[in-house]
Amino acid sequence: MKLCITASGPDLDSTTDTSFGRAPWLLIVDTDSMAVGAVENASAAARQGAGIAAAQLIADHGAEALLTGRVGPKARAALDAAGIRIYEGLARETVRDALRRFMQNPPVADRAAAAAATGGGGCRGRGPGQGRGQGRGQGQCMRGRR
Amino acid sequence: MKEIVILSGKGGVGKSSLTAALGTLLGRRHSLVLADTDVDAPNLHLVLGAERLESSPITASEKAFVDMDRCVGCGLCTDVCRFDAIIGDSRPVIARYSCEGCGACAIACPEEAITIRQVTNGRLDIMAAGDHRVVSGSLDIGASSSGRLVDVVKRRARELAGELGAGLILTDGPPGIGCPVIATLKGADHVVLVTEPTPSALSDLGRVVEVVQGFHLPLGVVLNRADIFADGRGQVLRYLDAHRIELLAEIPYDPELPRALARGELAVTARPDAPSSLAIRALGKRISDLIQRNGPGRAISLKTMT
Amino acid sequence: MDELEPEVIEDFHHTPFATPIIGVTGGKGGVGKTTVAVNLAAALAAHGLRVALVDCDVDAPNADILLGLTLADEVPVTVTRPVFSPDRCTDCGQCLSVCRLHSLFRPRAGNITLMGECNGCEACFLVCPADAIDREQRRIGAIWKGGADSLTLYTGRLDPGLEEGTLVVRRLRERVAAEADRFDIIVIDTAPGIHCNVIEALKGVSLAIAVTEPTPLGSHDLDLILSLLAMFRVRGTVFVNRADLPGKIDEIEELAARRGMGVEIGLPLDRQLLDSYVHGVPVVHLHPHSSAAMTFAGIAGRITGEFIP
Repeated sequence: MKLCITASGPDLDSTTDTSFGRAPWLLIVDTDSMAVGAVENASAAARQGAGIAAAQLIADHGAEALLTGRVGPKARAALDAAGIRIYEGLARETVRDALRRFMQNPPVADRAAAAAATGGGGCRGRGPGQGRGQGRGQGQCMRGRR
Repeated sequence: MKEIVILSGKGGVGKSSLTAALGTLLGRRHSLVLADTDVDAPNLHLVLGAERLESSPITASEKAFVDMDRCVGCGLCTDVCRFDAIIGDSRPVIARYSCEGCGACAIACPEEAITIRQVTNGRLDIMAAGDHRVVSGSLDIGASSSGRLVDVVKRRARELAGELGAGLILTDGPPGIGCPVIATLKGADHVVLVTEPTPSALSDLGRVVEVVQGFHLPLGVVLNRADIFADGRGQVLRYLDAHRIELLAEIPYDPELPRALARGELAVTARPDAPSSLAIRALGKRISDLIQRNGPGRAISLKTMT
Repeated sequence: MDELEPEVIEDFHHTPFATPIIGVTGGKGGVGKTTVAVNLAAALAAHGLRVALVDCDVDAPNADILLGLTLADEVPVTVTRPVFSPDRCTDCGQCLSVCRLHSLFRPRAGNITLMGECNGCEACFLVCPADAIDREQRRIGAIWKGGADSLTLYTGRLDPGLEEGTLVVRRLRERVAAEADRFDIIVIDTAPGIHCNVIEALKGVSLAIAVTEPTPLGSHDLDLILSLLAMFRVRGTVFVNRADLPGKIDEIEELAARRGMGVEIGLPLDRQLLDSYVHGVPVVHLHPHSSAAMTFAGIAGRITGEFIP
């Protein structure tokens, strides 16, 4: 599977970036071969439509799934249209660690999880550096919400 | 982090005064950042008597620029502009206040004489009101793209709240229902709508309710100056009932309020026992409870001040 | 912002008709702009003029309520939306790259969809080499006309949830322009603020009345709107509403004087005005001998004297 992880730099040792449209780098990892392709997000600073532009970029690079912090409604619609699965709740850590945790505990994709968790406390890891005390929620996010 | 947005549709019904009062009250229990996204006429800092800490220009608008050395005066740019932003007979002049920066003119120009450039359209101020920070945007005179300015204010408020470990952003929004209102609503968690018991305010409330419901955001209504017109109050209450909208508070008209404002005081602290102050305190408590009442998908609880 | 080009100012003041326009604006919301506009229009009509009142606050229009009028004669306002034909699309991707709002999305080759906001700029149409885009009209609001005899109300409304208010104002002004010859005078009520809707609404006004109230907020926002008027070289005058409030009127007078504008101290909020406001009848009609009605009659007389030949 080709998985896109939002990142602040071009390699696996970079820190993740929890925003999708505004992440400076989009790392596309082939989870079978572990080959990494780094795509610079040219629209990260766009005044408008950064989410759709980023969705276009990763769709053009053949991504099948996206691991990020939070996806806005328009980007979500675009990703859905392209059939790209969405995994939200990415924590702020190295891409390598995020990938390892993702591989060890394959999370439930967002839509399925949302359907399963109606009424339950959802979890959305949010923005960089927002989170003194947010760590508690994130591991749980990654593992789904059953 | 939670974002509560205060809107009204109609202007002048007391949004900024209420935001300032609520900010002061909620600030005693929660760590919060205040934001003012009424970039046309930002007033929250005035009510709070906030002091400016830093101020920087915002470049969140794009406009067309014509290189007159290349222009041959063919007029194609004027023909394709859908915003009537290009005027002039023999040479094109861009009316910047109408230009959307869409680039259609640059595409049409056979001489490649038009470029789209980013321009400064406002300022971002960070201010201090007591222990709290206020992030406020202001549109430059004659500038446009106020919605994008609001995006910048909100982003900065979130960053600042992150840096300060604040769990709540309380936003004083703009009047109306247009682009700055929509930009204000994006990413919000809860909306408080302020109205007053007059037919005009009720009509405008109905329009902003439609916008908020389009975002599927939970909302509640505060009826300000609730006692100035009994029939109007009845109409508002019936409207809320019919649309199953929660009435969060009724605040009585307080003739002292303008005097307090003129003195630079907040009535809610200067005269804590006035009927309006008591109503706002009860509202503050109610909102505090609302913040902790979790909606679906929003489980992050507030950091409580110790 | 830098100074405006002389052409821009000239264009701003140009109207395709001779009927004079009085703008009512004010920066801050809720200071009584619509009250002033409605009562001024009614007072002008009482002077025997044929008056068009144009409510350009398309976000929150209230003039119909204050006049107790039912709106009629609806004309929808629409904007072009692109519809992409996969059959004709050659997958060149040029539309994707020119859309500055990044609103177009191509999930699969040759399949373009409008996913985000569209302001109807039509840049995508200009670059498509295969003529693969069709025009569809999308409604963004509507304009209405109401009233009778000497006072006609034109109102525009943006549909809730949309952002193209300026276009609704522009279409509203165009409709009024087409019928301007039927009127002796046009009164325009603007939205609060200083944004593009307000500028669009004030195009071609002979005089702008900036309504304010004596509070720190009123003065602050008055300064902003007066700066805007100065930038567009619009002749302005200041009207102080809620004169019963305890704020500093001298502060307002100073702001106006700095720009060479006069100040009219009008309207304390009295029972009769509130009565008129909530019952949808201009005070000029409801309480013709009240001080509020007299104030408007006086302004209407002066405006008639100056602008009506």
